[in-house]
Amino acid sequence: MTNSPPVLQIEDLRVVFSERGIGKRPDVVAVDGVSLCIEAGEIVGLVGESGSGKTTLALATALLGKITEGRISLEGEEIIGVSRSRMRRLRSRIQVVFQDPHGSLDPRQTVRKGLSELRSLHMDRTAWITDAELLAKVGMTEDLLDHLPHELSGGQAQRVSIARALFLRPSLLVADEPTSALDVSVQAQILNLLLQLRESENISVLLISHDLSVVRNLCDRVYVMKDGRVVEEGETEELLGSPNHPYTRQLIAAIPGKDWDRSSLESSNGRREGSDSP
Amino acid sequence: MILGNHRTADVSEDETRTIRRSGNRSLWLMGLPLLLLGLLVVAAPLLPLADPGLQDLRGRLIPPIFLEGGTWEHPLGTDQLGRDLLARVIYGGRLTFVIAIAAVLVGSVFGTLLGMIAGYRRGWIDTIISRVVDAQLALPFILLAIAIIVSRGRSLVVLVAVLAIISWAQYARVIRAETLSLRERPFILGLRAAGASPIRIILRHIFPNIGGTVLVLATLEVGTMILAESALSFLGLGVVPPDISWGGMLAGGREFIQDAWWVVTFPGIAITFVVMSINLLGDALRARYDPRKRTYL
Repeated sequence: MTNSPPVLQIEDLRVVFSERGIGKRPDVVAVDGVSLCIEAGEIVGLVGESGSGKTTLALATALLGKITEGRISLEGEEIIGVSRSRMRRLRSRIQVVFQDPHGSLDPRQTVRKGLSELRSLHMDRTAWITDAELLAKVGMTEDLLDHLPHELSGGQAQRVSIARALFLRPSLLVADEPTSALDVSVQAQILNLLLQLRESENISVLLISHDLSVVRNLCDRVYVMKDGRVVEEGETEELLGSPNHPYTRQLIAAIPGKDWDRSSLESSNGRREGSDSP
Repeated sequence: MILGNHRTADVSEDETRTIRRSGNRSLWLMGLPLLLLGLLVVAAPLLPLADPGLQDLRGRLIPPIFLEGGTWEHPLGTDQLGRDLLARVIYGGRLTFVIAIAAVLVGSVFGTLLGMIAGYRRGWIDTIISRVVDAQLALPFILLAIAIIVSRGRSLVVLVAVLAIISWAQYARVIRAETLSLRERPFILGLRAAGASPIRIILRHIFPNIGGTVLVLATLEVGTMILAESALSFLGLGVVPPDISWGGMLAGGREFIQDAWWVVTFPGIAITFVVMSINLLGDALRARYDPRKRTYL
């Protein structure tokens, strides 16, 4: 899209979980040599079944998880081996949205207190917007500011999580199954919100999902993971239209009640036209 | 857009509220006797009680009022030095409570802090703290208490320190486990992503979310501490006369149990009553704050 360095570049990432001591279980290689690149303003999908290493990769991508081996650079800056405090600064350029909407908010903190805590952590980067304007961006009103998380619905809590993630104006948003715990109608709203935010804030998104229809509607490119490896990657429509790897074909065939021939792909081709109607 | 995989996150709030409400009622029920006793003990100097230290060698071992020979002057009778038992039980409660509560405060602060650090930081810090906790829990507490008190001397400060040392490992172990599960929760990850420091996360986010557990533990621990203090005083390792504690009264009256059972019985009843009330209160609190019943909602 641009000539600037990719927002995030991961090369040969390996994540190995091992136990120490007597009677230890064998090492688990959760991510095995994955390379991944996300350009500015791009929405990249990451699909694969449960246990394929998606979430481990997502956490590593957000610089929150374990990294056994590999190189990660954020906007051209190498991040392995930097000091702890520098890491904290760098890390906040990537924000995360998780699957469990209520688990993503401190149960004892009102929405307002949570936002003011973020303000106190990043005075310079949060001055761009007021609390009310921020909530308006995710389609919420400011009367929810004094609510505790358990007083919010799942969709509302997820919007607050997204608002919190946007607050620091990250270069990259890692969304780990952001809609799979939500009602169908709310899912569509949240996904449309992500699309709108990409347009208005030029944010890059790494969208982790096991739902291919979500990925097809949103993502520019897709990575398919199996057993800790990327088995196939490419432009969304190309990859889902003519998958090369047998595992990708299997994933596509596993979608219930969906006819994945070329005509149905073309009829719903335009994610931009389709995105405005919930 | 057709989207698959729908699962609602709605949890039955009514159910939670019912648990909460019935929990509140039993909390009051369980807390009331303790509250009354606490008031009685605190207000002791204002009550028309005899001087608990006043000896009357001619009025030794007077039986309580409901036995032959009892007088209204000494409703619960007198001890081997002719001191009024009712006054001594009430005044003894003051020191017993002060020691138990001070020990719980010191033990819970250290235990909780170390537990949170171990659980949150993992790694070598966790290994060290966990091994010390294991070692601590393996030591027989009386032996440890004897060793410390013999080498440091008997005083209130030493007694409180000994009791705190006995109890901190309990908190550390439980709180470490709670912290371990809490630190993997998305909101903690989100705060780390936002660049919050470990100290901020531990104090502002982990602690408020385990506060209920600490409260339950601390309440139950007050009972344990009263028992431990009584045991130490009974062995002559606790409070030094003329200070009065229930355990000390048990020790003093032990020799006369054949002729004057009331000297040890009343402090014994006081200990049993208080420890039982505290345990019931702790159970009621646990019903409210049980991690398994708690929904983060």
